[in-house]
Amino acid sequence: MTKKSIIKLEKVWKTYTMGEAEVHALRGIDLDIKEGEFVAIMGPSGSGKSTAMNMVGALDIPTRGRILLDGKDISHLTESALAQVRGKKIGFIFQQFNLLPTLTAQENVMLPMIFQGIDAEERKERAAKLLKMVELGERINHKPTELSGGQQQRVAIARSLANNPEIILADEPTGNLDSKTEATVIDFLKKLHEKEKKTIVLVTHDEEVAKVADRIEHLRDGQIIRTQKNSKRS
Amino acid sequence: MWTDYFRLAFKTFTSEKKRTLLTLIGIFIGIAAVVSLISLGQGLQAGIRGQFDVLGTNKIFVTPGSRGAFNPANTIKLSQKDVDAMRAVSGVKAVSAMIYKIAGVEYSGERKYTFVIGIDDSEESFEKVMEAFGVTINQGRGARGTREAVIPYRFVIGDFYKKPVRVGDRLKIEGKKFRATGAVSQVGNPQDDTNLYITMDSAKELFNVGDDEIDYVMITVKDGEKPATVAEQIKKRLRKTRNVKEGNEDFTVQTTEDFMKTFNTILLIVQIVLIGIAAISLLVGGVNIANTMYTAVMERTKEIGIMKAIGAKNSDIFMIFLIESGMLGVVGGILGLGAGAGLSKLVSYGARKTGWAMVQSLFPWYLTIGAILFSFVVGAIAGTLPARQASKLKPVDALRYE
Repeated sequence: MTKKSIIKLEKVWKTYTMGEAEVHALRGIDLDIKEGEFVAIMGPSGSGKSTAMNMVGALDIPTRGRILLDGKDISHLTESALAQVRGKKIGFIFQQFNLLPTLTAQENVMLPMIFQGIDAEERKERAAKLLKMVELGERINHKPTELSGGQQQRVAIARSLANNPEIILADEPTGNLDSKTEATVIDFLKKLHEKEKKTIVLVTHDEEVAKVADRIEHLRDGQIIRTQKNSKRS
Repeated sequence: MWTDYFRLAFKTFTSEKKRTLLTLIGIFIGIAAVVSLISLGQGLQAGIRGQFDVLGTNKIFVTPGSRGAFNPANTIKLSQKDVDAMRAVSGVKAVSAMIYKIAGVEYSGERKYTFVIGIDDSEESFEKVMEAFGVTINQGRGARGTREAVIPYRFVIGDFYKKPVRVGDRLKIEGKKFRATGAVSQVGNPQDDTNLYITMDSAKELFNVGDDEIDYVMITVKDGEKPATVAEQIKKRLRKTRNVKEGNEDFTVQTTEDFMKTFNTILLIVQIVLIGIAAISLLVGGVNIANTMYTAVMERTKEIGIMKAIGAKNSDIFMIFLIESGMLGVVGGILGLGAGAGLSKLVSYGARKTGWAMVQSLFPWYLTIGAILFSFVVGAIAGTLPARQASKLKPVDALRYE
């Protein structure tokens, strides 16, 4: 049984103009991510994996080609329309955690819900529940500076789930963590995939980390050079 | 949604205490200056209007010279003939002539100079003329004959002479003995609160002046007559008796309303100038807010990127920054309002202590609401461009910003 595509990149090009020169960050990428899949995008720096992540995460639109999210073409949407799509369908986890320093853990988790117009009571309740899920129930009133790196990343995981998105996009989520905390964060991602049935796109340059995925897409010079199915999983 | 924007703005304030405080001071000073000036201006207007209300709107004042101000050094005087002509105008109920002189007044061995006003009580009683003049005798009675005087407020409270003067005490005006038969209540300005009142007969004898050296005439208009119309008639008559052409009058006829108008115009000009100056500081405060907001947008580029990544629309970012900047304005405005109120109270207190009871500080509701609203608008306008800049940031670029 073939699963439904949730994100599909069709011959996507991204070209930046640097003065006179044109730099092609992506050169006609085709990528099809199915609902409930765990996909890792790997590649050395400069391979275009960040640009690819921006496309998958609806953070940017392609110069050429199409991006279909849930079958809907989002390649020509305005920034605000993209924001809406992101807010509802995609949860982000970043390498540098990217929590707002002035807000507490709970407030950080509540933030994406504010932009979706969810009322305050529900926000509070859901944020507390999500933080409990990432085992930070005791620390909901702590600010990011009062938390360790691993704890901050767990807050970010909770935040990515705030609007119950279908897709979780993790950009080098363990890049700033030691190997022990790395393992817990990866465990959480696995849990999200297996128990919550989330589609997970993991961008990394770490082979070990990428192994948790069902499929690894290797990127080089703006193109996918190899697709590797993970036989241990699925 | 709105309350969330406010909460977010508030979070930033508390985390950037020093900068927030410095930015607030800019608006604070401007609003404090504007508020205190408006408050005192309103108070002064109300105080003077109160004096005119006591005087009544059925009065006409005639002074020699074309400037319309009482000036005892004025060489032009009104004559008895002028007074009689005024009396003959229909619509005139009563005419009171007055003489203004500066005289040495001695009390308990201490001699000081002050205004002595001779009041014509031939037509109406001394008390009635005083009352019509807007001055109330609150102790004793008016003066009769040529050896009695009514003392002013500052004589009674003892801040003119070393010793307070009491009703019944004796004083010497230009060496002649007088007895204080009454005292008047406070007028509200230190000058008028030292005026000594005697009868016209006393004044003529004391200063050796004839019938034709009148400094000031106050006319009461009959009920139902329009003061302005009667004033026109008086002007016509006076031009005839004084033999002057229209436009070359050597006298001034003013109704209470004219006084009010003149006064309001002067006050308005003074207020516009002062508030204009204060507004410049407010403008500087606004620029300061804009500067702070630009810095904030720069510093928080990454935050903006994060918020956009997790679903903030351009309009959300715009509103967050606009409200933050508006709140800088409002908080500065509220503090400024408090300081302005304090300043205004302090000035009016000081003025009252020095005899200027008419300088009050008033806070009409629109001043309070207006100041807060205005400071929000200043903050919001100052924040518009930075907020726009923030909202236009591309999430990809903003996220990469370090």
